[in-house]
Amino acid sequence: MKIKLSKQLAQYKLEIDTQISATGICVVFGRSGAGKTSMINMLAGIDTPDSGSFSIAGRCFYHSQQGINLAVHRREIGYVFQQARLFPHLNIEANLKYGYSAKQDPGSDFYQNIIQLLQLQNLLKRYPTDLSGGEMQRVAIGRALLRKPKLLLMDEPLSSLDLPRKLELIPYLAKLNQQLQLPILYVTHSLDEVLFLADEMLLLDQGKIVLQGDVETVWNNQKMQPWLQQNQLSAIVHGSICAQHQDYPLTALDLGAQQQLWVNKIDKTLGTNVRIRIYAKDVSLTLTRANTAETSIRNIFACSIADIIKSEQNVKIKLALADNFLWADITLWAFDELQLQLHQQLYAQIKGVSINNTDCALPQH
Amino acid sequence: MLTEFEIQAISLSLKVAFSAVSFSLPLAIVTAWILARGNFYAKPLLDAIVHLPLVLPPVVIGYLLLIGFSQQGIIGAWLIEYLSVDISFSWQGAALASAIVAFPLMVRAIKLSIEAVDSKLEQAASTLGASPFKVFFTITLPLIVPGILSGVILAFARSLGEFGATITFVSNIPELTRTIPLAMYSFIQTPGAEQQALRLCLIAIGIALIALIGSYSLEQKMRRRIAHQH
Repeated sequence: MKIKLSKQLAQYKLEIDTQISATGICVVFGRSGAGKTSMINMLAGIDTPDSGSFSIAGRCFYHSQQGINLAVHRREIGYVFQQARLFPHLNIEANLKYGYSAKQDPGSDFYQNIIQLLQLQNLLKRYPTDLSGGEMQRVAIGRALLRKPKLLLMDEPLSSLDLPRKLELIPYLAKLNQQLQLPILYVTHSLDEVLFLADEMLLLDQGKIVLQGDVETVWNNQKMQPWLQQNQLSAIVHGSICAQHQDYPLTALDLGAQQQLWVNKIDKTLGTNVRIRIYAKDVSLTLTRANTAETSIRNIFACSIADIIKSEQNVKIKLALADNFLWADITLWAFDELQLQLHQQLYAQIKGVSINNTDCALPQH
Repeated sequence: MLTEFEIQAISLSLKVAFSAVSFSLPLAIVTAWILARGNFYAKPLLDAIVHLPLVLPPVVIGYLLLIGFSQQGIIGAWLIEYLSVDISFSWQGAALASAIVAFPLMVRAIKLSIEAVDSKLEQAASTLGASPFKVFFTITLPLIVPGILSGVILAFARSLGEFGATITFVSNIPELTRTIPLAMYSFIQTPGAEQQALRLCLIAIGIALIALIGSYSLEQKMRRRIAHQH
């Protein structure tokens, strides 16, 4: 998918020039007003760019110089909006089938598959007013998929839902990504959704792409700092499950270079790839390795200081650990007394109990 | 119970009102859509022209119709020559007068309901592959049914009560153009017909009540069916 678009918006000029892989979820991340929705509205054909071009797998949807600008309904691009936008006068079945033509693929069980994937069986005869927010959004996703789009755009599809509904919907989205070979552009400003859903990530600010790449790289990049600090500074590490504790509900992750991280039990088979978020507040530093027989801390890692960011209240230390990074939050006082230096070797301690299933995701690709 | 004269007036009134409303409805929907969604230079002018019958004295409309549609009128002569249709001094003429007088009421009601349709739903429909044509007939139109209904009722009621334009344009001819209001007028002009006038008055009230109650319950039913999600 090749995207090269520019458009003058009220506050700034949106300029995007990128390529996005043909499968998996690419999260478009950024604060509100960064141009995320403007970007995908131009892809859908709802807004027209000033200039540029846009094509998927060689098929051109927009090209300002060649005068190509396909109308929204001819683009075959699915769109799941923030609000479900179900048609109130149609029941769920009619909503789902609105863009679906059974004649196009006779004998196919695509419709049944989508119904099953999103578990819509029991909703078909009901009307949108009778549905909960999460159910409505599931129907909206199914409706967009049944159109058989070449690309699915999702504009903060979970933002109108409360936390339990969000958690209820995330597994569906992950499953969707796994089972359908469909590129998804997913707009969000939620780090949780990035952690759980993203294969690729694109950081947008003031209408420009600041960073793009796989989630670990972008997350741990210096330029992500402002976004991470707004919530709580954290790092993402990746590893694979290498052991389940015999006596306690704990799982060990292999982070590479013989480093093992114990976290709350993840009920998956050995070898499963896992993505873990570790908050800076849960990481402490020592100069000598503590004896695990004398401390409650289970995770002690030899690492080196990769960066030091001082502020008035505290010091943020970036630590290199095998091919992962960690952040540690310490006080100025501790920083001065330990006399920490760049590239210094030391030990990071992480409380295993602080990492639970809201911090761990299973990447699909 | 009803005299033959009364039955004549009632059926003529209903016939005139039904034709007036049903023939002007498609045009009213198109006009309302243009006024609600269109964005063009002459929109205020179109809006003014559509609303003109609401503010003009009905007798002026009747007079203009007389000039235009009588046998010597520009349009009337053309109609007679090419379509062999003569609407002057006929019930069709009464229907035309009613339609013009009731038109702004119908357009207003429909325009309001089109403006109330969430255009985000129409946008969603187009991302699902629906052409603008399909969007209108499968999303917009079903959602404005209550508005169309109230527009129709208003126009119907206005048609039943039409007097000034009708009597000016097609005169007061028994069996041809003497609708309920015109019949009442005749009775009032005739000494000693007070009782007949009163009967017609009660009949008019009855018809109006039935129409209003019927439309109210129908509208409620429609609104429940297309209740909005927010």
